[in-house]
Amino acid sequence: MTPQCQSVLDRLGAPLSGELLAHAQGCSECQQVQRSYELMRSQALPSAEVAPAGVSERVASELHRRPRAYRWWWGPVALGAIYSLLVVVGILVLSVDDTAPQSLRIAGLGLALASLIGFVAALAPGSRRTRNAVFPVVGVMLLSVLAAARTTQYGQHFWVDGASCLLVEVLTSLIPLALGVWLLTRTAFHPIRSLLLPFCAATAGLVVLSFHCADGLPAHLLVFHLLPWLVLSAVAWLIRARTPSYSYAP
Amino acid sequence: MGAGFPKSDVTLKPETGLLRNAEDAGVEASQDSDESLMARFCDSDLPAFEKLFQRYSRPIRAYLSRLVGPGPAEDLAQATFLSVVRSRGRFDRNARFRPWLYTIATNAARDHHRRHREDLIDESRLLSEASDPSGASVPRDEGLERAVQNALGQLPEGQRLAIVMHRFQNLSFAEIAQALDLSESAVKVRAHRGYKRLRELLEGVWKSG
Repeated sequence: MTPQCQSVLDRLGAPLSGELLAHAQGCSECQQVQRSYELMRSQALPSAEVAPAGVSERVASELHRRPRAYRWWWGPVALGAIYSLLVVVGILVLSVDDTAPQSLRIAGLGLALASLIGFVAALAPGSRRTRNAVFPVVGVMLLSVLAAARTTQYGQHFWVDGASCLLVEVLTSLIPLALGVWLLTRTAFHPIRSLLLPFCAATAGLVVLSFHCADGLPAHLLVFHLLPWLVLSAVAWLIRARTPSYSYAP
Repeated sequence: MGAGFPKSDVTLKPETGLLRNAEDAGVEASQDSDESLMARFCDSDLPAFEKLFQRYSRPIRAYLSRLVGPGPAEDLAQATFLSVVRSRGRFDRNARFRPWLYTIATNAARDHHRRHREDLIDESRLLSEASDPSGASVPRDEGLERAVQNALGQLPEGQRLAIVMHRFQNLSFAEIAQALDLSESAVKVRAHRGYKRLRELLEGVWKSG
């Protein structure tokens, strides 16, 4: 499509003159576009005149129940606060592994920060570019958490040590995930948005584990850290995909 | 032609016939803009919403009819306006209202399509609608309408939405771009390809016409 074709497209239905007219007469694509447009000119609106019954009542009822309009940022703020609270409580309550390298903790905090940004990106209206940009950031932070664990430091009991990590991961992430899914149902279903939010919410357990567990055995990291995060995110996505939307707003 | 509602975004779009004379211009100027009405509604002014509803009820139902058929369109139109009410806190007061409303309606249609796993355009329902003359404001050619709906149904969703919004709802490309969260040039490319493809699909109709 040439710039002139674009100009013809912009002026569909209007008389053309000068250069544009000459272009339209010589361009087969523009002629096709114009003919399609003209052919549909006679199409009437396929709609009845009668207004749908009950809308006014439902609107009045809705306004009565929720008279105040809440701004969109309440969602990410509430989610971020609960996420942060759970992470802090998790770190304080669980025994901190003193042998864990400092880089692991820093990576964990970086992941938490990226997740908080992810909440905003996932719930903000019309932030497609930001959403797409946050995905790789969360991915890099996640990999850095896995990479920062000492590969020379293995736990003694694979399943017993792993079970505690699994439990921490699941328990810490459940509430942010549940709240995140609920917040997602307040808007139209969007696959990317609905993937980003669970990805970020489920990192709560990983952040706590970055203070609690320095086991760098690849199998341990894969089975008890990464896999639960992935499964929890996938389950949350599926639940959101099957839950009706409270609103279709973007 | 035209959506049959007063347009607040006063743009000189020749094919819509807007502002053809001073009287029309006066009517347009005397009306509240969509955005000011929405701002008032966000501050709990119910009559402002009623005005918006009166303006857009019919166009939105017409739009949804083109996407999902008239039966579901009624329910989805209600859901669209309820979504406006429920999500009024998500409306950016610096943004245009009409693209936002069409985004909501499009999302409602997509959700319907996703849940019912059926074609976005159900021909049988559209045909039954076409035989109902109650809403027709101009003479209708059912054969042509059937052919056009059939052809529209064969377009990819992106092209179909761009054409339905542009041709039938009179949205500008800038508004369509906002509604679909795309760049304006991307919308133009889709519309251009869609019109071209429609021309091919409607070859027989064109010749017979």
